[in-house]
Amino acid sequence: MEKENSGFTFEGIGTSWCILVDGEPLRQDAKERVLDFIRIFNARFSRFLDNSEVTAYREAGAGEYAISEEFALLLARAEQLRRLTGGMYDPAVGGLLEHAGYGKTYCLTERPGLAKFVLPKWHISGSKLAIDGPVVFDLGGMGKGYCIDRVSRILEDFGYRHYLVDGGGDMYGTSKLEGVPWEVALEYPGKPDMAAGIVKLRNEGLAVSDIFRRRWKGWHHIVDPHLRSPIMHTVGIVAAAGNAWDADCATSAIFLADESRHQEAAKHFGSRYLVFRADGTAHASHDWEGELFT
Amino acid sequence: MDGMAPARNKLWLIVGVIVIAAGALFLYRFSTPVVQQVGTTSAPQTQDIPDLAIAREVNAVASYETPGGTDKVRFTLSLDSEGAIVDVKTTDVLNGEAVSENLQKFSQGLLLLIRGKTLSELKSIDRVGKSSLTTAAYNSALPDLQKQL
Repeated sequence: MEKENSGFTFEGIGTSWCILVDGEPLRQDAKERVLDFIRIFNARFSRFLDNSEVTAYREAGAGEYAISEEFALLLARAEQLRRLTGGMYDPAVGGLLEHAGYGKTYCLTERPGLAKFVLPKWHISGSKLAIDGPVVFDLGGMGKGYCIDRVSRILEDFGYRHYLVDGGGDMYGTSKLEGVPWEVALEYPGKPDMAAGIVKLRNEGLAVSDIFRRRWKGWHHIVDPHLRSPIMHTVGIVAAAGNAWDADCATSAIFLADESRHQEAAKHFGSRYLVFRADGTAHASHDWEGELFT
Repeated sequence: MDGMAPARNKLWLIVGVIVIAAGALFLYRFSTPVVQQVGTTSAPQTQDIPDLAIAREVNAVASYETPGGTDKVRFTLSLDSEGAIVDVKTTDVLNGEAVSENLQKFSQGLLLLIRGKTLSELKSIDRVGKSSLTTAAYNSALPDLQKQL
C-alpha cells in the first residue's frame, strides 16, 4: 500500500536520506536548500576528501590552529564525548581507520603500519585547535545527528511543522498532523528484515548504532583507539533524545563508555536508551518508552 | 496450589527468582538493599484475561532498607509451558500490591530477550531506525574489494 507522500529521498554524507512531510508537499526551493546544505557539509567535513576541514591537518606540525565556528562546535562536542567515554570516543581515530583499511580507497584488508598508530593528541579551546602533530578527524557517530538537526531547522525556516528527517536510519521527528507521533520500527541488530521494537517519535531525535553495517575481516567501524581492536561486547544501541545530535552523541557515548558510565552518558544528553547484546537480550534504561518485541 | 511441579523446574524457578531479585537489587538506586526473605510461593494467580501462553506465575518478596524505612517488593514471574520467563511484574507489598511507577522500572532494568517481529507484520510504520548504510559508491566497489580478501 503506497502512501500518498513517500518522502523526499536523496544521498548525502555517505548515506541515504528521506524526509517525510505530513499534510502538504515539500516545496522545490526547500528541497534545494536542504541539498545545498548537505553538499556543503560533506565538502567541509568528509574524511574522504583531501581539502576538507577534517583532513587539513593530515601532514601538519604540532601547534595551534584557528578553525571555523562550525568545526569548533563539532569538536567541542567531540571533546565532551571523549571525556564521557574515558577516551574511547576520539575523532582522531580517523588516522587509525585509514590504517585499518577504512579510508579513501576502501581497501578491506588491514594495511601495514597499523601497530605503529598512536592516537594523536588534540584539544579545542574556543575556536582554536591545538594538536601535537598530524591528525585526521572522523566525525562519525556525531556529524550525521548534527546534520539531521540542521536540516530540520531548514524545514522550520520554510514553515514546515509536521516532518520527519531520516538520515540513514537516525532521525528527528516533530509529529504528523494533529500531534500524531511518527511510528518508527527499530531494526533488530544484524537482521535487516526484523524489528526489535517500536518507538513513537514526537519532537524527538532517534539514533541507532550497530556493529553490522560496516563490517569486514573482523574489524568494524567502532574501534577502540587504545587497544586498536574492535569493540565486541555490545551489538547495538538505540537512543532517543530531544534532538538528533544529542541522540547520536548518546549512542556513541554509551557504546564506547564502560557499562558503569552508561547512565551518566545518557543523562548528559538527556536521552533514554536501549542496549542490544550479542546473545539476543536487550537492556532498557529505566525511562525507556516504546514497545519491545520480547 | 501447584504442588505437582517437577523438582527440576522448581529449582530453575528458584534460581531465576534469585537472579531477578539480585538484578533488581543492583539496579535500585538511592537505597541500600538488604534481602531479608526470598522464597517462592508457587500459588498461581488467576488473571482477568486468560493467556494460554502463560502456564503459571510464581512470586517472591524481597525487602529493602531505604532511607525512608523498609520496602517490600514482590516480583511476580509469568512462565510459559516450557518454564521460560515471559513477564516480570513488580508490586509494592506494603501498598496493597500497587504497581508503583518506580518499581515498574525495575522490570525494564532487567535483561529482556528480544524475539522480534518481521517488518512485514508491522502495519503502520513510517520509518525504520537503523544504523547507517554505506554509500552507493562503496556498494558498487564491493565486488572488486571482496576479491582482495
